[in-house]
Amino acid sequence: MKTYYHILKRIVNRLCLIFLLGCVFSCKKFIEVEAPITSVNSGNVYKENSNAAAVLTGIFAKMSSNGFSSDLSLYPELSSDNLNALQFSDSELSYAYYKNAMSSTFEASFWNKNYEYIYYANAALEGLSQSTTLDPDVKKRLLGEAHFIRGICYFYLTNFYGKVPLLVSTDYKVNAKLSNSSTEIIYQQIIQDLLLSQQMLDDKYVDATIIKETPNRVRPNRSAATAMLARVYLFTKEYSKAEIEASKVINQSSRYSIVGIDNTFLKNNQETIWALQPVNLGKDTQEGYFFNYPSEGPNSNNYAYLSSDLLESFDSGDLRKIKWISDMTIDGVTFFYPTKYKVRDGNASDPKEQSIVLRLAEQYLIRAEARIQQENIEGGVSDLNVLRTRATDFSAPVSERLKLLSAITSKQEALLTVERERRAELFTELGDRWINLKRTGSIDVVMTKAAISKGIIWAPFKAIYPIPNTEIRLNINIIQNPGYQ
Amino acid sequence: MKITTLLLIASIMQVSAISYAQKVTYSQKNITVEQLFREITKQTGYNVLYPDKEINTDRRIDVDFNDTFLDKVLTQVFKGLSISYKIENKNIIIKKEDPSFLERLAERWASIDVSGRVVDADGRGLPGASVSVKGKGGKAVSTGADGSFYLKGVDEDAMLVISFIGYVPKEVKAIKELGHVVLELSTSKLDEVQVIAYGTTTRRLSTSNISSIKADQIAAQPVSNPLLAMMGRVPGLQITQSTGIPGGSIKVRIQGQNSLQQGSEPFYVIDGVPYSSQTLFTNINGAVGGSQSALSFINPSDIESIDILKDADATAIYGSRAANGAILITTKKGKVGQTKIDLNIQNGFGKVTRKIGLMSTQQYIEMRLEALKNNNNTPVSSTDYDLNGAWDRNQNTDWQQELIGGTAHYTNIQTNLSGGNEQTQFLAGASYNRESTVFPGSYSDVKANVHVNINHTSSNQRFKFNLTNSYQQDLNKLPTIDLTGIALNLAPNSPYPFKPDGSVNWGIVNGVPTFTTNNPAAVLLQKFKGKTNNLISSSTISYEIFPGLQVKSNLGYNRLETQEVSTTPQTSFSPTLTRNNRKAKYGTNYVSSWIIEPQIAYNKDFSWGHLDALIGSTFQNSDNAVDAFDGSLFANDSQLENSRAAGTIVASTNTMQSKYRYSAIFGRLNYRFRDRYILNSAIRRDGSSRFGIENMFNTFYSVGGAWILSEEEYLKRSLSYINHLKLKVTYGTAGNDQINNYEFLSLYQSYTPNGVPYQSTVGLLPTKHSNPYLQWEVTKKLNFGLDLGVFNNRLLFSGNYAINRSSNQLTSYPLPVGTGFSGVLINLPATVQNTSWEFLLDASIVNHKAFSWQSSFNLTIPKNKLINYPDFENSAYYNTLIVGQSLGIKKLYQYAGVNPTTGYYEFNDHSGQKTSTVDPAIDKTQFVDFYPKFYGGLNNTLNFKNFSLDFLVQFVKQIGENYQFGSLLPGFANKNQPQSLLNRWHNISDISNVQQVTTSFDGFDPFNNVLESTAHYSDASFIRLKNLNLSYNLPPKLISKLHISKAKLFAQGQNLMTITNFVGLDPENQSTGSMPPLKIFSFGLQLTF
Repeated sequence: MKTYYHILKRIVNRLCLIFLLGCVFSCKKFIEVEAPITSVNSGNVYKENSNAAAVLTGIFAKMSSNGFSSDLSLYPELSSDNLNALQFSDSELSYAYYKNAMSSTFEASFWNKNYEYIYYANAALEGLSQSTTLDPDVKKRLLGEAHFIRGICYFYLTNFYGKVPLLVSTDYKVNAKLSNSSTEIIYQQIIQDLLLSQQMLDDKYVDATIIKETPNRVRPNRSAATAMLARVYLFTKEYSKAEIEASKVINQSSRYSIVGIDNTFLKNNQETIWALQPVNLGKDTQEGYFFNYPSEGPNSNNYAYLSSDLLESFDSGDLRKIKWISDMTIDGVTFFYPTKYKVRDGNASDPKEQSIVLRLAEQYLIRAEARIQQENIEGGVSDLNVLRTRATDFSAPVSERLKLLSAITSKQEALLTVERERRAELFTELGDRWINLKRTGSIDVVMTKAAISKGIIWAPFKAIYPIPNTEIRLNINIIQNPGYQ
Repeated sequence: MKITTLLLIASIMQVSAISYAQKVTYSQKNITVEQLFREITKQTGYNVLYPDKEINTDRRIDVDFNDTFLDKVLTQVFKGLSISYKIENKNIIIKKEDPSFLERLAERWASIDVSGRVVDADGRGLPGASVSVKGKGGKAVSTGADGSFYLKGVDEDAMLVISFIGYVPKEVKAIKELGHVVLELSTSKLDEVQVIAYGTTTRRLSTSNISSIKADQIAAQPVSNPLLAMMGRVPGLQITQSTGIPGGSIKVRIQGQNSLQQGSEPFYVIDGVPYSSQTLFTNINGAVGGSQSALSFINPSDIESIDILKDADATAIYGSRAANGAILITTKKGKVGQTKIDLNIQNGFGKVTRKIGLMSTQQYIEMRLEALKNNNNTPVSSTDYDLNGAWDRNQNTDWQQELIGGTAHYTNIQTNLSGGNEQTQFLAGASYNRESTVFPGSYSDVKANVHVNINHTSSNQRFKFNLTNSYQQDLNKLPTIDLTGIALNLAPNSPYPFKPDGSVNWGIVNGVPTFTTNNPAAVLLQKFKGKTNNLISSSTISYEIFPGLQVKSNLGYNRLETQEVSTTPQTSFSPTLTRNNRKAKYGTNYVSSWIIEPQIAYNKDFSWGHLDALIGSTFQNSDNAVDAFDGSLFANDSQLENSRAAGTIVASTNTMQSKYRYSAIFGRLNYRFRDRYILNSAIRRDGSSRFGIENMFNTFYSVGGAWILSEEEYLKRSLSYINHLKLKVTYGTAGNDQINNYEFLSLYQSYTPNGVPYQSTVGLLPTKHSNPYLQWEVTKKLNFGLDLGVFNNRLLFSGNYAINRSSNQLTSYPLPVGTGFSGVLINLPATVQNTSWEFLLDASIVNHKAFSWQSSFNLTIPKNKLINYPDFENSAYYNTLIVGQSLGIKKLYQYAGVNPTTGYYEFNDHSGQKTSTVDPAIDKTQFVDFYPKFYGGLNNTLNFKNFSLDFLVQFVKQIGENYQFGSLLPGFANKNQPQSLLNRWHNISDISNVQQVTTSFDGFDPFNNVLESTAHYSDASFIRLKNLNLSYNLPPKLISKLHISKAKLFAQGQNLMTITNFVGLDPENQSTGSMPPLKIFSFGLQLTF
């Protein structure tokens, strides 16, 4: 009996010592827990190819679900002279965009959503660059995608809100205090992101594995970065660079070409550079759902109609007016609405159309303008004619066909022609009219005229939207845009 | 060596008075040496000087001197004691010789070594009891693990004082072999054992603010949740029952609400194992809603005691988990003695406590027609079934009676088998408990429980082992919805919902169902079934390495597991619904945790005081999982519980798994000097997986001191009627970690937008900002206490004043959306202060054998205040709270009656103008505080011969939400309204406090605003006869023939009577949508064989 207790005593003694010492040295290890199986710890996300890729896939899914492209195709177009809105009580925000009566108390969907994508992109950039376990090709490509997302989001943010805070990390302590950056600095960041993206992406379109090639053009590739870069150089007036980048895309004729007017918005056509895949059950694109009227006519979901100014701006015989615009007469009033996307109710599991964000036609417009700006008017005009050719109905009698542009001698006139062609080609697409009116400086002239039919008075400050008040309240370093203080 | 001299006063007075002979004549037996010295001085005139520490003058000797020379006298007296003397100038200087080794050895032989064993009445050794020699500076030792002690070198005939916490101290004469010294349990409340973290103490010696509830108080109450047994009995503890349905959640606050946004639940520990207070949420709601009280899975009759730890001194050792106090539940243990069987059978019934006066059919129809008339004379429409003749306009049903007026049944059977010898004791118990509801139909909550406890002590008492296992199974078959809300709202002429065959009466008139909304029969067809298993296993192993030093470890395991299913059959929908609407929700969840707490304890009596020291560590792991999914498209109603019969099954977003890990090192030091001055200090260093990588560890501490003034000699002499007077003060910190797991982590979750994955792959997106700095809420607690016992401790008073300040509040901090998310969980230096005055008075008013009367009164006056909130203007609380006010406030419009012209409610806006249109941002100028002003209880226990009566009166002073304005917009739809609506505004220039009834939408705004106004909040104070227990012990003569040692008949009642001015159902839960607490009567028999 005595030995039994003796042994027990020794065991207990030692156990006790081990526990106490063990605690001192291993407590920290003991209480560091892994993330639950039902979610993934940020530290582990970027350890495996599939998880890391799922983050970028998630961002595209979120952008598509949140209406990244449809919002852009609607609200700034309402602000411009292209699109009008009927007033319904639940479309108050749209109506404010239309009446150029934005207020800092409105919900700022562009602000909130773009910064959300930027946060995701920043998180991905931080996680990816710290990771050492990913397949190098996958890592490079995902980094390229994240840079691309950040670049395009800042492009729209600065075009709508002017000077915005430039957040390039996920550290909320820093970010919550950042002040506005100048547009020059923001453009520098955009160009840097897009250059990196261009470098890191390749020409292939890949699926969610990031390795396998796919005909689906729903992940950005090198050309997407190049196309964005071309646009950004146009905005920063670096015309030779814009021409070079646009040419890089245009010259890939095996991958990209101008397709028939009926096919321009179909899924995976040769003109698409980058599109978002529809993800909402029972719908194809949100653009199609929004712009196409149901048989009963406009309602609180479908309240936008094209302005007569836009309708009148088309040359006669322009197929773009004929094929991309429809009309409906309700109670004796005729409403014209865009039908670039034809499917209103569809099936996201097997969509006919996808929300196209970048397409080749714009590259021709960019190059045309860049060439004209560099005094190559002839080259510019020939680019414009590529698009006019597509818009020509060759089955119609010659007199009723859209005319190709003849030689233009004046640069001024050529630039105006580009502006008209842009409008005809890219109306109700990604706010193109609004941001280009601002870029070319013609906004005040155009909007003063448009203000009359809108029943408002135009003021230059309205070209920039207000920063939401709630943001300024929480970050006193943010300065409100002029006119909204 | 400093020598203190004692001058004998008598000698000074007689200096030179006599001619001194240096001879002594003195013969006396059993005198002290000091007496002899006096005699010497008296006879010789010589002063006797000696260092009083060295010379034991209390020693008793026999002397017989006859004219003996002084030096011879002295030699004889000090013989063998190594004491020397010298005589100088009429002074006799006595001094201790530095003894040689041999002499010392000899000295040892002169004194005795006492050995013995201190035991309790059952003969079990009492380890840690103190044995000391009476008198100043007496030696002291503590008893070893088996209660034995060995005290060296005690003077023969010295008195030994033997004392132990919770026992009556005893004095015995020192003899070599003392044998067993039996200590009797103290019956004084002061000596009742209080369980504290990792140990025990008593009210007498504790420095903390602790309250205890004992098994007999729990047994007196017919409740199935131990939390309910504490209501009204504990100062500083507020318990609110949110529903009368069995298993419902119970709000428990110890010294108020500490946290702004996170949980303020106390920390529960059952036999050393931490226990979660709420069950996991599976998105399946039984009648009690999403959260059940997990404590309802603990059998109250298994509980020996519940100890409520309130201040920092008691809770700091629990570190980050006990900022809201701790509730320690100790279950019953086996006892030494003959094997006995206890049987307790109890049966009872319950009813709702109160009802609301509602309109009769006549008054109701009058109101409805008036509402139509007031809305531009709207005609009765084809869907106004209550008015257009579809429903019988003469039928008048009291729906409260029909739907919640039934009788709930309560059955409880409990058996225990216990016994054991000195080394091993055991207890095995089983119980069955069934509670039904007051709803029509058979709905019940059935619990079966097994409880086993084994204690073993080795024969040398050094090794100890204790194992307790409790297993409870609960089968909850309650409806999916509480019918209380429906009972208050159904039109009194609604058709009867059940057909005679029990099926739903849809009130079909001309082929159209008229009774489709809120049809109780249809609602009751939607069933809930929840099966819960709860296993709590705990063990303590300890070994005494040498007397006073013990190594031990607590081991614990708990698994609480629930399987739930709720079904919605097609028959619960109107027959006109052709779509297949059958649904079923399935869910399982479990919390499984283990804990290991190795410790080293040391306690010893020294001449400089008693020391209790403890160091230990904790390792705890807890896993939670919820698996929930929804089934639909079933082919028929009978297969709803079978998930395989579902056409589609979709996983619920509530599905989750999580892990919690926790570890700590802790220590406690308790020092007691002469049972008079007590110092207690605890420290804990905590690490928790809930917190950010930068702040995983934190340290909590406490310091407490008590001064038992009544032990001071001067007080003993001057105020002899004071038996116990103690002052105490404690200060320290404790933390609150009641947030979800992983809150600090940046987690990515699956993202599939609206069902179609992008590129056929599920995405992953971050869900929130991560905050690696996330850490504990910290509560700093300061407590002042005074304990007083007078008249032989028959009157015991205990008062405490606590100031608790909780800061580092875990709150969602708003961020610019631009940062990615609109907020982040951070520790904000916002501060919430809770102060409370707590009083407890125990009186033993009459204490005769035949008749006794004990009374206990408690009162708490709490106060809550939001002291500080940085950047309050931008916080989520800007519109609801006020810095400087209680967290329980509600901002309200100032009610200004009904406009006599428009007939709508009016309010005074911020500028004092009367208006019916108010702006919530600026016109809510008034506020009321929901938190109680004071609360408490009065308990009386009367024993007369074989009868015993015990009753508890609970009282709460508070403000609550009344029901005087009715619900919805009165008159707008076919909903019945309270009688108070009869005084409504009818015509222009009527003066009334209730606005017109109308079917116009214009009525909604003023009506909704009046519910946000001062008039909607009024006194909800109540005095309630909470508990009554009458029992009769059958005379032993009668039962001994039946081999029954004890037989008791009893009657119990809960919530028997309520005095209140409250306008509404019940002032306690103040709800019109959930069942008030029930009034329960029960009768039972208790037998002991």
